[in-house]
Amino acid sequence: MEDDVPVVEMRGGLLGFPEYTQFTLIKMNDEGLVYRLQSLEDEAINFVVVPAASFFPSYAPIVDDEVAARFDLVNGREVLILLVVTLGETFKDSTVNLMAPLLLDPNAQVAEQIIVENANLSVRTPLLAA
Amino acid sequence: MLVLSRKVGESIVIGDNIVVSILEIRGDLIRVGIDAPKQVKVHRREVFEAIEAANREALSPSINAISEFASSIKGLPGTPAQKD
Repeated sequence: MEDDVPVVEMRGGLLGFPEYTQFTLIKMNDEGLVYRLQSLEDEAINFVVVPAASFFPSYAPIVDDEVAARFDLVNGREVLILLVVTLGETFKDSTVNLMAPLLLDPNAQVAEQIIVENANLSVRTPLLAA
Repeated sequence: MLVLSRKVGESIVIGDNIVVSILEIRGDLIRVGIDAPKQVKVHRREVFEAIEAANREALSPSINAISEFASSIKGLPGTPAQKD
């Protein structure tokens, strides 16, 4: 039974999937470089995510004022930035979405997929471009 | 589809609390201002659709594919090593 899994509330769901808002994060490798974002509402719904900081250290998403307010970023509250991965045939073909990262407040266990204001970021950036 | 004609400076009200205003027209570019409650997300359509499509593509890979991916990352040169 998965009674004690930490629940992450995904506000508004992922874009295109508003019906799924309760997830848990499952670590998929020892280094903590890969996580599975598993829906608690439907077993068949999951995404692979990676911490942006580990792969794109210079990634600096620009968020709008309302996102900043919702996550209390103005007061210096720290959030984790996770990138949704599209697995390719091989590792080399795998891509991440830099335009719509997930912000996760690890203390509140609340997350949101946001659309960043930066120009020229791709929804399919090769992970190896890191 | 409801079609309305508006001039610069005029607006359209949607529901009780969404106001769409035509701010400026320059050539084929129209600047639109949108006042909406915080919980109403407003996006450029092509951006929204691109992200939706990317999410759909990323959805639910097989457990095998995920494990393979996780282990290739472990062995990849250049990925950050664990430091204590």
